[in-house]
Amino acid sequence: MKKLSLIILSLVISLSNANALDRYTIADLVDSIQPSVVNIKAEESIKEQGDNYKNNPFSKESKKSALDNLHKASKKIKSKSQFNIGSGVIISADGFVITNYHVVELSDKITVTMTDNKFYPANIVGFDQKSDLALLKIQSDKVDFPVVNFADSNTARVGEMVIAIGNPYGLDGTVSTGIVSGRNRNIGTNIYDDFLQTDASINPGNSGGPLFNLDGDIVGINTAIFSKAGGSNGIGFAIPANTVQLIIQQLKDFGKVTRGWLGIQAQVLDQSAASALKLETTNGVLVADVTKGSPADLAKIQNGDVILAYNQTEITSLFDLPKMVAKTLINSQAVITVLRAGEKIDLTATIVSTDDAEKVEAEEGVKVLANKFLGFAITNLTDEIKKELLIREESGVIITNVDKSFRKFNVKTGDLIVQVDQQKVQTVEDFRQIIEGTTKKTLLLFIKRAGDSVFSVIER
Amino acid sequence: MMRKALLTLIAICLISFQSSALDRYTITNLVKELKPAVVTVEQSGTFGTSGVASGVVVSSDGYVVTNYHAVEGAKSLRVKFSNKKVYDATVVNYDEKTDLAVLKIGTYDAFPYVNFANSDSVQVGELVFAIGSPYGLEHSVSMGIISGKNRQTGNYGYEDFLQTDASINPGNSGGPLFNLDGYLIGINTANLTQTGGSNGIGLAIPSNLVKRVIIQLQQKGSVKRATIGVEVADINQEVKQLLGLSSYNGAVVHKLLANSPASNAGVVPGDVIVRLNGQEIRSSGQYNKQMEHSRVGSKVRVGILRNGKVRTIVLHLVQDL
Repeated sequence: MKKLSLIILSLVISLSNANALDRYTIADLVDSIQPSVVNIKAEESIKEQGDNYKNNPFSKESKKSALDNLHKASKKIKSKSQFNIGSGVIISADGFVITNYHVVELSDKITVTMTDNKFYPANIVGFDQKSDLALLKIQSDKVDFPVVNFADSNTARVGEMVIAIGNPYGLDGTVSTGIVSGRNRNIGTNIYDDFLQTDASINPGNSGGPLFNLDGDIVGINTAIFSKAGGSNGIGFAIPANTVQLIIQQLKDFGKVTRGWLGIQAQVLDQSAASALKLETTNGVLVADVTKGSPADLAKIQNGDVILAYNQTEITSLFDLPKMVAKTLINSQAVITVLRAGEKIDLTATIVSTDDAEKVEAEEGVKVLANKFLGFAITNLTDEIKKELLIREESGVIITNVDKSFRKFNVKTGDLIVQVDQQKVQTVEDFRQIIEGTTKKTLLLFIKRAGDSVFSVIER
Repeated sequence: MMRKALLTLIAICLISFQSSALDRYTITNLVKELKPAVVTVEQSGTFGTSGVASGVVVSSDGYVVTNYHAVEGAKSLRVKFSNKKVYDATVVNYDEKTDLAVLKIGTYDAFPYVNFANSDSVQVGELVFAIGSPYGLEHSVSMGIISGKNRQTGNYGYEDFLQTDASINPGNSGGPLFNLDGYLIGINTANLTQTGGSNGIGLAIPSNLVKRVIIQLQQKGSVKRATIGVEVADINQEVKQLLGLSSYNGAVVHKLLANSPASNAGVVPGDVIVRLNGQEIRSSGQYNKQMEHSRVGSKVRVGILRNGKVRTIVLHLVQDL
């Protein structure tokens, strides 16, 4: 009888174990993790706003906090300074704080406010524009700031419950819940995109704030949303914790992020190319160009090679490779498996930093590719790319690379060009005909970018 | 002895497990129980159009709570139950400052009604669900958590909202937000949004405030709030810096009514109310709550902080219009 009781007891305990939820599970977690979440106010002396904010879902509009209405009647006590609001999270007891780069961009005064309303000045230790992360240090001798830990974001599962805490529209300490809706999302900000997607409400002001799992560990940093009007539509994006940790460590150690560089122009392997090469799948990427003197060149990678694997990891999409290369340690060797003339060959490349890439490119100049026009390379829209970039449009051409000289115009890698000078563009051939059929110096591009419509004027 | 202790322990485990653990049907079961007390409020002549809101029955003789903005200017009203029965209803009274209205169903019957939770003990992160008629979709159920407390938007005269990430859309107005005891924890009233639809930031009037307003409405026919002629807000970081304050405690005057006791006594916007009748004031919510218990015509001692000095003035309370 006693034994039976013990068995029942252990059964009951296992039923009410760590995985069971009750109505206060999140409330209890919030009590313990909220003190590590901070509000960030970044002020800037420059009053002019650049155009590049307009397409950012977390644009400067966010500073128009709904709560500002509250003080409408008393202009006397209202600040006139330009500022951004966002969120952040404390990751060390001596006050290192993670936030988004776009929150603190261009600011010359940063204030971090804790849940107990105490606030501190903070400075930028380092930032990385490509991943949109910034590392701040609270200027204080305090060594007992409340800290939270990182989760292993590789184990975050679609459907798993998550909690966002932040400062949407200035509503500080706002907690919202949802699940992980997707993984490895590329939303077209740059080739390194690898977001976690969540349906927890993420709104302007949540930027830079943490997404937690139910262990109370950081699973991501809330960074962007898909939205038609700027508010949450249940599609939020967070930089996965593992990426955050990699970047933050580099920012802490060196104040900047160094990414690996291989030196190839890759192209999507579409079905026709795959069948021409007698391949059964479209896995892998086609090498369209190799930069002279680059690690790829030195490893004897050639135009027309199909890269099947990088350090034994199979390449399943065009966007896998740059991410893998970027994460590779500088000056370490990478094994690149290519298919050439029906034969699999392993080549070894010594990965250098993208900083070195700029030197090589400057010496060699930029090569013109078959599908390269003006100052950028384009490719036809395939089902794979549509899936990868979450593109809803049926036709258009995708920008795969933008020359340095062309980066002054509002065109980015991942942009979908749908019109040139108000003529519809469905294929690379359409694009070529329009470009070659006119002598106009300036051209108007109609671009779709992460759900937004963008008009860009380019000059040739 | 040992065995008895063990059995008791098991019983405790079982009870604690049953009382708060969730399963996939926890909310389903609560909804079954609560849906009959939630109504769709329709302004006659606008049936099926945008004039639809929500409401909740709070007494068996058919008193219904909804938002004032949902029934404002209505010639006649109808409420529709989940069993499809439709009744005429009239606005008994309302309070514009909180945006609450009390309706009475015209037919005499025993109606299903809900109980009030104590909203002061609600926790951020606690699970909640809303029932209502967003876009006319009757008895829609949406779930979320309490995202924040004591929120002010500046759009209503008197506010102390609970914030939720449960989807609150047009048509949810006036409908109930429930906790997992199945008690009414708030009346869904507003939405921070750029398009009208839910952005996951819904605002509900907390049940304790609803209760206080209803009691006053039922006893006196209207809510008579006493005031010294100011509107106050919490002190945020900016205000603190600009006014050179040493703490966030107090309620800052952001609006001053002309010819009011406060303006006549020389109170100016930017003054911070730190004491009321000898009691310390830490927030605007606390100030408002205390004013709610004050009577028109009586006097109050107000401690005002200006330029680092607190001075106390005695003011008459007038009716807040």
